[in-house]
Amino acid sequence: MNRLLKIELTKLTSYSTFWILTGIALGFYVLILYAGAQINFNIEGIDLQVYLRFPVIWQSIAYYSSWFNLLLALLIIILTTNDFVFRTVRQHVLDGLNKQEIFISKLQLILLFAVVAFAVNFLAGFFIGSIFTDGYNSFFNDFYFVLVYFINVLGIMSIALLISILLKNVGASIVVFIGMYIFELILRGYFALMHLNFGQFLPFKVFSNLCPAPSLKKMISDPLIKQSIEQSIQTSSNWEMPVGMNVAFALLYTTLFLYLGYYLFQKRDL
Amino acid sequence: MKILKIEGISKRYGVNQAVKDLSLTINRGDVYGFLGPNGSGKTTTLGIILGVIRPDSGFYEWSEEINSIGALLETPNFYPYLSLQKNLEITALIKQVDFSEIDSVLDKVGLLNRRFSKYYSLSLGMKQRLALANVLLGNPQVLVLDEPTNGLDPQGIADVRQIINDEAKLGKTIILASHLLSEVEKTCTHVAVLKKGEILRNGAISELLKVKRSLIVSSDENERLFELLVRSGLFKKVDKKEDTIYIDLGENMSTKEVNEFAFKHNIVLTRFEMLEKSLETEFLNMVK
Repeated sequence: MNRLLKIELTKLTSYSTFWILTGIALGFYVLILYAGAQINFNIEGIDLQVYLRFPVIWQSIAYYSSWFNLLLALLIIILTTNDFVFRTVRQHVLDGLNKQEIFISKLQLILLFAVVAFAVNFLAGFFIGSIFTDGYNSFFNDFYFVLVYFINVLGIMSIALLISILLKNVGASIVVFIGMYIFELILRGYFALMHLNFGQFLPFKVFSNLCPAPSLKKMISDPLIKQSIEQSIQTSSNWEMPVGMNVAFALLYTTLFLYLGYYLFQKRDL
Repeated sequence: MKILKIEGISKRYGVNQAVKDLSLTINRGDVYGFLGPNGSGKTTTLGIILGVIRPDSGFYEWSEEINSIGALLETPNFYPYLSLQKNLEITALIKQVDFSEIDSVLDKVGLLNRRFSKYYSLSLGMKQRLALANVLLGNPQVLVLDEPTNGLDPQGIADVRQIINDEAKLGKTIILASHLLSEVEKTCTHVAVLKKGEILRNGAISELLKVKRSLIVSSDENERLFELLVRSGLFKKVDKKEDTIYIDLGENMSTKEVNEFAFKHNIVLTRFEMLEKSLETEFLNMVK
């Protein structure tokens, strides 16, 4: 295994806070998923379980999994600021790592978390989809939601990494991370009121747009109701960024946040 | 052979000039002490040469032959929730040395029986010992130690000095910062005395350790005695303040020769007092 990743895993595997947070999150993840799978209203023309079948399950599970992004951001903040608080980042340099290697080790940790989150997301989607769908004919339709979920997770963690390097303090970093999210919500609300589309380009919105909630119309099987819902959505909806452009912006933001984090880390004394 | 060359490094924190145009050279096998009171720029200088602090100007250059440095800067820095073993495993991964070396360094600092204890459960002295074990891991060619005996009890201080001396005997280059003269005096071959970020004096400690022997004399014929002493040219320096004559004996003259000199010129000495200036007095005068 890669030496830098081994170093990060040595810190991680004996860290009880990590296991507690991950355990709680996984518990909730499975519990809510299980509860969601049990819900089924018997109303004519409405099929709630469509969200649990292929191919819609990929979008449902990506949207649902993105609720847990805060936990991943929290973990990155704790693990990064720990190194500043305990001054072990300085000790690592004294022991022979250079700043670039330290940054790469954090990047590898982010990638590892993203891969694990992606795998959990895929397995949960595959498992639930297999239970509720007869056959795998439409398996790969909408599968791209699982792929863009990976970018979504990566982007959110890149913001967390940048804030952690900037503030070097766990409490302040969490407050600023959540504060940024709330501030962006307010800003988006303001832009929407002004009938401006700028809100779609703000980072949290760009990332959350990657994993949107599945459309309500998908559960409507009656074509007449479906058509009227579609019409009302068309007349009321604001402009939404095309998927390709959204992915490009998400990648751009991720690269920018990681670069800023790297630049700041290189510039500062330890 | 040069191990480290520092050329004109300066570092300022706001209005505080931590290091000012500092230059020096350290050679292989030197046990080089940075001596100075708190805030004299010792730690900043070490931080710069170890790459954790960026100098505002100047540069430093380690010899290309140096491929491993063990360093302790200020306080020990470890993960409190990890055991000593796990903390040193991280260092071993960084230094790319085998985990099997961990036992020997823990044994060297007397912490082998605590290897599975969490770091937070250690006393200050034990933390310092662990930091030393961390430095020694991988058998580095150069040791950089900032106040290595901080927080240690007398036995701990003696043990650390013994470890430093043992490492020095192996031909390793050791750079040691301390505000304790006795520590530098007992362990170093060379010393740089720092004050407010500047080097006041540096060189071989044997030179600085030479006791400056001065003699205070007086007689009923003070004027004549003073003139004779100056004219003789036998003594390094002769000064007169009021009724007292100060004679710097230098290396070749003894008190006996002063007495004989006065006797030969029929002068009876009414005061004859030796004034020994130790390195401590010298150090205190320098940094005052």
